[in-house]
Amino acid sequence: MTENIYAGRPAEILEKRKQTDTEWSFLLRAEIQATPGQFVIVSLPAVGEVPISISGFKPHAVEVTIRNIGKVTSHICKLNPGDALYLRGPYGRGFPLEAFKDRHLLIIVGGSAIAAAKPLVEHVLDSHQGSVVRLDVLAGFRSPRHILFHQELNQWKKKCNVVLTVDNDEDYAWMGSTGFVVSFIKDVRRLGEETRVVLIGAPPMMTNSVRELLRCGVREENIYLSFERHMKCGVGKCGHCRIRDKYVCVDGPVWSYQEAKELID
Amino acid sequence: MKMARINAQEAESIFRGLCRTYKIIAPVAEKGKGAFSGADLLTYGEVGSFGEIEFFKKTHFSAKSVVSPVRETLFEFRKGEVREASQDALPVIIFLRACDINAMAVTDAHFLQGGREDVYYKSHRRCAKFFLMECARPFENCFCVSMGANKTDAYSAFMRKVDGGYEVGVDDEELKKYFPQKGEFEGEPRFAEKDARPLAVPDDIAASIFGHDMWKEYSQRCIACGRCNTSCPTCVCFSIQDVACDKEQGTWRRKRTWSSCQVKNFALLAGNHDFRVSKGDRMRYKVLHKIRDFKKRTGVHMCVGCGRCDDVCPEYISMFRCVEKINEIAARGER
Repeated sequence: MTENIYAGRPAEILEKRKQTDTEWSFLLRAEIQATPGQFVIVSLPAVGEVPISISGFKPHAVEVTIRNIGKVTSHICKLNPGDALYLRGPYGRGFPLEAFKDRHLLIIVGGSAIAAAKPLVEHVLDSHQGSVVRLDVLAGFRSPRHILFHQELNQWKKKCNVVLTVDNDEDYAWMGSTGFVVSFIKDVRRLGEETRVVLIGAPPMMTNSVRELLRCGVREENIYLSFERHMKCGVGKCGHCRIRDKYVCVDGPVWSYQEAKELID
Repeated sequence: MKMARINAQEAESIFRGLCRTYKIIAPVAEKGKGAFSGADLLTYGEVGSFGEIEFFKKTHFSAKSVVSPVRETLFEFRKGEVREASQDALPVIIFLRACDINAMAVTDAHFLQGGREDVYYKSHRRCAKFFLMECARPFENCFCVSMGANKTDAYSAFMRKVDGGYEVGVDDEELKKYFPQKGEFEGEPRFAEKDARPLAVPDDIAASIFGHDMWKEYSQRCIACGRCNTSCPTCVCFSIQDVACDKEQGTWRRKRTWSSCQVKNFALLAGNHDFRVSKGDRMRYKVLHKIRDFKKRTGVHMCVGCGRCDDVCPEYISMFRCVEKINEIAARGER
């Protein structure tokens, strides 16, 4: 019998970790073979489905990080360890890990996009196969209370160069950098023709960052973006995520800028 | 092919034999239900005799709802249990013109290829047999010849209405037993050979067209009703929603329904990020899918030139004219 591409598999919540007032990370029991940059569709029967980036891998488990922003996500965020939901996937084309090997890799993330980049950072820092010559992480958030993965960011600082910045430091006793993440690009050491860049964030942030990276000598084919679009099926059938002749769920979400600049919407 | 001439009485007797096994779906004229006073609604419906079939007029709706229903249950949820909805579709015969048979090939490519088969579409499609209806002449707004969708051999039988009865040819072994073997002669269906107005379909379209002023006209004229998508035989986008059947019993269904890229919120993301907000952008998105993007992906044009979108638009927007404008802009070398 043909496999049903819309059917999910049960996934029990093993752990739930609060990130901010509106975001939680869930560790789900699942046997999923995926690579950094791929996503799953989290499915809650009688509520709905949402596409969520995989934010971490553990043996027999995956981590997803969810923002309470709509009907489905508000239901998911009320669940606790022991509750079950359904997963289908992994879907999409992840980051081209081979292209980063033995290179200078710069990862630029805006806001909750750090969730999609986290498996890539962990792959590079924790595995021998993922080794790069140099890793720089540039992470920007709206304010200190919007920062995700505090613990992980502190761990990463011990192993590579991390610039953590906020757009607005509000009333907090914020000792870190302030300013849009784009303004820190030019200060990345050894940034140039040989640098591979992974860039994920809201469209205006990605547009401005690409402009700045090109100005700093980074090559178009070495900049990798991860797209986000409204999705219903995740398998290239419903049409919602289509841009020209490409489906973000099947052909993306990761594209080099050389390919991505043709994807005008 | 070998054909037989049957009179109206014989035809209805054959019909009664067929409908013991098959549901027969064909063009019908629903009296007085058209958009304008006194006009009939030309659509597809289940028929109770060959006599009910409208052989000589073009329908406003296609037969796509037979293989891609307007609303369809994918899963049922009951008290914590998830069950796939039954995929037993009934055998069906659909009367289609060549353009619509070619449109079925387009939706087959979309739903069944790429290594991901849609089991629900497959179950409907597997049970469908096509009876070809010929087009001796193109209708107004048709341009199937320009789209390469005017001919086909993917049918089980061919039927032509003539004075006093029908001429019929059957290719399908399973269907031959329903039809008489007498009075056989050689015959072929007629296909449209020339469009009333031909359309030059561009090989590729420069990205510069995206920012051109031509789309502003559609922003002003289009009312985003989605009629073009509902009447098009190859528009099959859908949305998936979980809906309650019986909250007391705890039964829910995960359903999919037709979705239109011309209607608001097709691309709306959580957090209120939206794409193609202007109707001109949506028109560009649809037209380029039909004459460029799908072909780039599959090798076949998505548009089959049936002209229904032009027929049904309440604002008289013409996709045909839109493509002509794209060609004119390219010819003038404008950016």
